[in-house]
Amino acid sequence: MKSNTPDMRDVIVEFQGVAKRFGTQEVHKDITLKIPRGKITYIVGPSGTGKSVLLKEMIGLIRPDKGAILLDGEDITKMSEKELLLLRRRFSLLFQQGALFDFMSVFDNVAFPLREHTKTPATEIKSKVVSLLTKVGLKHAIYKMPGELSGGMKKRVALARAVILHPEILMYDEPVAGLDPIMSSVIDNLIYTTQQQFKITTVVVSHDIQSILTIPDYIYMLYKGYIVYQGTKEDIKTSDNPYIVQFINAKKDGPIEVA
Amino acid sequence: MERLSPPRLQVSMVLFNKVGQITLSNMHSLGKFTLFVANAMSAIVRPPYRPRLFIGFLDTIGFGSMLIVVLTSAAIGLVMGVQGYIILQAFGITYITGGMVAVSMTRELAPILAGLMVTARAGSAMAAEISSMKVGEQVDALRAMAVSPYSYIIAPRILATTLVMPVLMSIGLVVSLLSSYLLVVVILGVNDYMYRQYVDLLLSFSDYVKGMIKAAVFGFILSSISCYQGYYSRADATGVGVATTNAVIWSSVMILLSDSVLTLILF
Repeated sequence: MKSNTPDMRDVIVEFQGVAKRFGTQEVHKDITLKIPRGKITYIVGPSGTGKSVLLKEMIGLIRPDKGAILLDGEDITKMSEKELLLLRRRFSLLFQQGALFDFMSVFDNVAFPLREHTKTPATEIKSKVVSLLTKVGLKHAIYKMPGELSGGMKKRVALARAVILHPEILMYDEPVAGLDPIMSSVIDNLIYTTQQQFKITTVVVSHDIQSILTIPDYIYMLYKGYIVYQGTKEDIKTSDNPYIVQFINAKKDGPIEVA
Repeated sequence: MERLSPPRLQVSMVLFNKVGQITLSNMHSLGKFTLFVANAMSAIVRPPYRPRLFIGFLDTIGFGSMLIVVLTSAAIGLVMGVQGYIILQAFGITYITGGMVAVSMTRELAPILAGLMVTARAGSAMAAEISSMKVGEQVDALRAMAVSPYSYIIAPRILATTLVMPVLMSIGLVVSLLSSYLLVVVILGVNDYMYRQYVDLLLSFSDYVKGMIKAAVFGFILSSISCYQGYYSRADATGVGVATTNAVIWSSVMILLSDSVLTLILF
């Protein structure tokens, strides 16, 4: 076992033979993977391979057709919506476009989880929200509406909202998609420092090569409904797995078909 | 028994198949809607209660729809007054116009008018807002943050609409009666005392209560349908348009159908 490989005995989430179809389209055929506790795991792959669906399955927003998803050993696919609502307090999901509530200001969006799930007094909420928004560089935008924000700003607000309750598991859906290289680097840095500071189990869906080669402790590659590669970012550099080699080097030729 | 020839058999099978598919599809939709309403009702009666959201919707749905209800009620009151006057003039009993307008408006037209106007203004807005939230993954974001969309989005809207409709209906009723009075008594010259006597004679307080019950039921129907259409819309721009259109059409149809049933039950 390589020294950089996370301890796969300490697993917080485990997919066992998960399959999912939407109409005639089979998105997942047999997904088996383990998410190590307290580490950053990346799930990579070409566009349209069901990476975002995998995140939503992890949090119970989408139910798989077959298989089991274990959270600390408990199968969440058998839970009712009420049980899942309680379970989701352990998670936070940063959606691809941020999914900010457009009828609330930036302040109210970030304060939302605190107001919903805690009895934190208003003055303390304000202090926490201002502190977080300052960390993501958006103190000046505190009373703006989401419609007034750029894509990068929305993602930073969404990140602040996602971490304000210090969740156990933090998930990011394409956090740097559509952002310029500088903003991508800022977001990557926020992901890394947030994980390091709070030791949160972090799962990132991405196809950004720069991020993949620098941030994660462990990587899974998803293609045509299966996990076709798993390993560390160091393993990638010496891997002869044709899928990951083609993906990382952005080659046209290889087992990955260009749609 | 004559056996169907193969082409006839094929056509019959296709027809049966189609009828079967349509029936199953509609039963599925009805079942889905019933579950939706059940979840919404559960969210209304169980905590967490959301007084701020509820009051906000009372404002946007209630105050926001008041002008359109007032304007349309004034117009209908005038129309009812003039038509009633013309018809009753043939019998020399134009003084009954007030009573006729009052009973028609209270039992039927005020609730229906309020229902249709609130559908057009607030029902369409509800469907569009919730559908837009789906497009922006905001509904999923609520679920991901362990907040029930029924509790946060659906229940406050349905409760606010159901409770505000009788108020809107009452305001519309008063405006329509005033506009009718203005036309029939002040302009057309019908005897004021006789006009008011027959309003008093023909209209009872129970008529008003039953009219309010209708208004509340219409409020529940239009908000449930509008929220349902938004919640189950496709998460794209087309979906928003379809949701809004379907919300207005189905709410209007169900208001009119339920009015028939309620009239038979209540009167």
